[in-house]
Amino acid sequence: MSQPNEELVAPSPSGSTTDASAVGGAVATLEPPEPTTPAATEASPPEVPSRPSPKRDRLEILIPALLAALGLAAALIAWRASVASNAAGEASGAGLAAARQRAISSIIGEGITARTIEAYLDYERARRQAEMLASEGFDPEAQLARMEATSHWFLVRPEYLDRAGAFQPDRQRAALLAADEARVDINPDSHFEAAEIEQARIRALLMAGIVLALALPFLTLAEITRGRPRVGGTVAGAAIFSVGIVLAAAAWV
Amino acid sequence: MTRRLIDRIRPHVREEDLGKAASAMALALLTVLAAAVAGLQGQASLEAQRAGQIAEQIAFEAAGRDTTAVIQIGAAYGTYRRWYEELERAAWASYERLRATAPDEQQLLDTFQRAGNEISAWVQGQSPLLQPPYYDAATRVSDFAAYEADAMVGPSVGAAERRANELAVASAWGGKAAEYVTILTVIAVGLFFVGLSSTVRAGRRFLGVAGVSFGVAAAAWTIAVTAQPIHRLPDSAIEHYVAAQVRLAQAPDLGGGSPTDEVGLGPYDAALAEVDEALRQDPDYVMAYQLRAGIKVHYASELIISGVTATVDTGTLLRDGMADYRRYLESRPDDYAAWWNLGWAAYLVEDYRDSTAATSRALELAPTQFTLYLNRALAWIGLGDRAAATADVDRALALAAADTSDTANWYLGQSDLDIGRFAELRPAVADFLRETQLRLREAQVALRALGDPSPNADAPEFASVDVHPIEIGHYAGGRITEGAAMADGDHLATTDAVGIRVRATGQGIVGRNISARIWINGLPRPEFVTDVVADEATTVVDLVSPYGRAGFDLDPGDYELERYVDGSRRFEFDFVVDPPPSEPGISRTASEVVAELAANGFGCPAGESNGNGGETTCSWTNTVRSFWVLVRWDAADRITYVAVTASTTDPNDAIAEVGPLLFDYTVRLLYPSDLVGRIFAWIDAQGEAVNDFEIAGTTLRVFGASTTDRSLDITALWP
Repeated sequence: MSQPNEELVAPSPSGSTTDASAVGGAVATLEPPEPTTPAATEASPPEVPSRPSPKRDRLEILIPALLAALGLAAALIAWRASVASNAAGEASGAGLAAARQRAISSIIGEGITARTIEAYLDYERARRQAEMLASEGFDPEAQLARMEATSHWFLVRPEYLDRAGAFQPDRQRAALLAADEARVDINPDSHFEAAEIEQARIRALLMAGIVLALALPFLTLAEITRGRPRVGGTVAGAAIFSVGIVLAAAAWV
Repeated sequence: MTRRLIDRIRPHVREEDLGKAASAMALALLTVLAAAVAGLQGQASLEAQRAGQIAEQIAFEAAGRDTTAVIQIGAAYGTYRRWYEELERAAWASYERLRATAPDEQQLLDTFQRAGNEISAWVQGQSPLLQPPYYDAATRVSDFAAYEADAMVGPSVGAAERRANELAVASAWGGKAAEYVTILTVIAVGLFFVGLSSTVRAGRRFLGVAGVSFGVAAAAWTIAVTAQPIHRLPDSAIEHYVAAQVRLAQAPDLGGGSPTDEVGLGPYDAALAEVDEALRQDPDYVMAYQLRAGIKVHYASELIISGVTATVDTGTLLRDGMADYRRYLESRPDDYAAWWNLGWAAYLVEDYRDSTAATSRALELAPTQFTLYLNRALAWIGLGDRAAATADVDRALALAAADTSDTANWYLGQSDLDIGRFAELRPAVADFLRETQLRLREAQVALRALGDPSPNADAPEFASVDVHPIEIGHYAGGRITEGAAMADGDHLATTDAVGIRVRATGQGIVGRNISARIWINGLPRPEFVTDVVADEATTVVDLVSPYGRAGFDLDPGDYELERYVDGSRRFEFDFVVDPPPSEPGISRTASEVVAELAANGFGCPAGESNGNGGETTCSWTNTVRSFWVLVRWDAADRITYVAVTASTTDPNDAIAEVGPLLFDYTVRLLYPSDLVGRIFAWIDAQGEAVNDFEIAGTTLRVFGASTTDRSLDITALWP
């Protein structure tokens, strides 16, 4: 039990024994300062306050600031990813609703078109028979065929006949789909594209978050060390943090 | 060494508390690991959502496309029906034109005939069913199965497979995401221990090591999960799977022993080749194992039951199919249909113990499928356990009684076919199988006639039952002619009947439900089913299908006629309808036929010949009757076309005696100079018989594809 106390009271190169409680961030909260024993205090020579160097002062501020910024950035990235996730979900849902609506429209359109096809076939058969009978002079029979033709005509839409009088089912299908398109959303592709964009954003934000997290060990290293490792850790942590921020910014909008 | 390392590090640590510093670093590293795992978890969740979304999208699109395809197929059939109707109109006009005498009427009928032909030609262009590759202009036959397979089976199966694939991918990603969550929990535990090690004194090192160990384990687990690939079926494998399904849908139904040659079995082989390719591209394609197993077992089962001979070994097919089913069931052990088919395949290879085991497993999963009880009954009897077999048949019939849907009727019919065939194939147990078959038939009849599958065992017997073929004149408005009574086991030519008339008598049958059934090649035919309540001691029923009413002859095959009283079988009668010759049977040359006609009083002008053959029309006429025989031949003097035409001006002409021979109906004279009719046959340019015919001796016989089959002893025409 004596070893920790001895270590705690060992003077730092700068002569300060209060660094651990002075810094913020993870390290500061890991281990609360333990009370020094009177014996140990007595065993130490009296401390002579020394003036901290400007370089040491800057790191004292920079490292906690970076750690704080890291936490803030991580929180913002998580928030933005959450917003993107909501947007992706909504876009995906809208896409599926549009896909379902398109399927319904296609089915209804095909049913109507099939009805027209059959009516047109019956109409045209009767009409052709009437024409042939009339051309041979069988006018009463031709008239009967024409009257029969009219019983089918009410289901045939003349706008879908071509110049030769032939029914064009594709034209009716397209028209029915277009009419539905003006009434309800039946285009899922644009929604799915929007969902894809948001999902890509989430992936980029996740990547930025992981990069940001990589700065944490370096900043922790800087926090617990002194001398060159402290400077190196700070530089590396700051650099990685910057890369993470750039990645997050790129993914943001 | 460790001490030296610590001594070297210690000066660089600000507080020189290495334990605390290590804890801080461990916390930082675990936090990074947690962030990375959280990122991977987020990515996995995204992929799972994305695959799920694609699966749903495919489902919606497929629902639209499949339903649309069904509607389009319906419209295509509608067009086909109209085309056929126009052909029939043209044919009717053609027949009537021959009978017409007034010029105006002839002209009107000519116009109707021309209109029918032209409109049918126009309608033909409106339906894919009447276009190549689904329509064969030479035979005027459409391949409905091929059309439906292409229009619906392919897209439908393709969408289902792609959707299943995406769902499997979504599930795999979802599994990964769940594993990452577990890993995050492990990391949290590690963080807890490391955090604790930095705050407590007792067991500090132990806590720190424990925390780091959790972290290391979590990192290793993360690597393992991340490295685990997501199985996604290659698109090309799915395409081969779909192609196999399409081929299978085009495969002939061999049930009932319909004649099929090796060419007809081609779709099965093609389907197997496709599914083999799918499995070659992805050996983990679980559904492909199920499909391959299904094809093999179905293929072998069809061959065995139909009796069609093929070069393939059904035993090998079945054993391979069973192996595929077992492989499939390793992944999907709760698929009752796979256990069902595995049990059936085992029965077919006479592995009765495996059959009962697999069928019992299927019954555990689907206890209301009464066909399974019948299948197991077959296996039990194979093992010699008659009591267990009878108990399963009893359960099956009890389930059929409880089944209020019409599926019971279908399954009863289907099982009837299988059991009937195995009674022939496995004579050692034929008595039990025949007894079971009778129970099924009586249950089926009783279900329809009485509403309950239990027949009345005390139903009375018939005093007598007579069976007669029915003939219908194509030119006579569907007038029925009753042929001579048949004997049990008789053979009929296809030209002899369009249906069957059954006359049953018995005093006890009054007020009873009298049913008649015809099974053709072991399969029940709904077109030959009647159920009536007898209101007198004699009942007469005509078993004639709508095709028969229009003049089409009975299909060739083995016919089993049965009559039931209150669901109990009281009469059995078998007969055979012989098939037409597969090739024209012309035993005489054109020169010989023309010479014989000339020798018998016909005027036969010299034939008009060209390099490819020639033709002549022999005729005989008096004040009342006229006959014409048109004969065409090819360069080798082989007959290519024969048409026999007759007319009379006398309503009381004795040609009425000739008419039935020539035109299969009693002469019905409507006009003076009424045309009695004609009979014709020809061979097309490729040497194929359009109307199969034969001339043997003095008999001309035509097996019509588009007309009623007829035969004629030419000597009956001799003046």
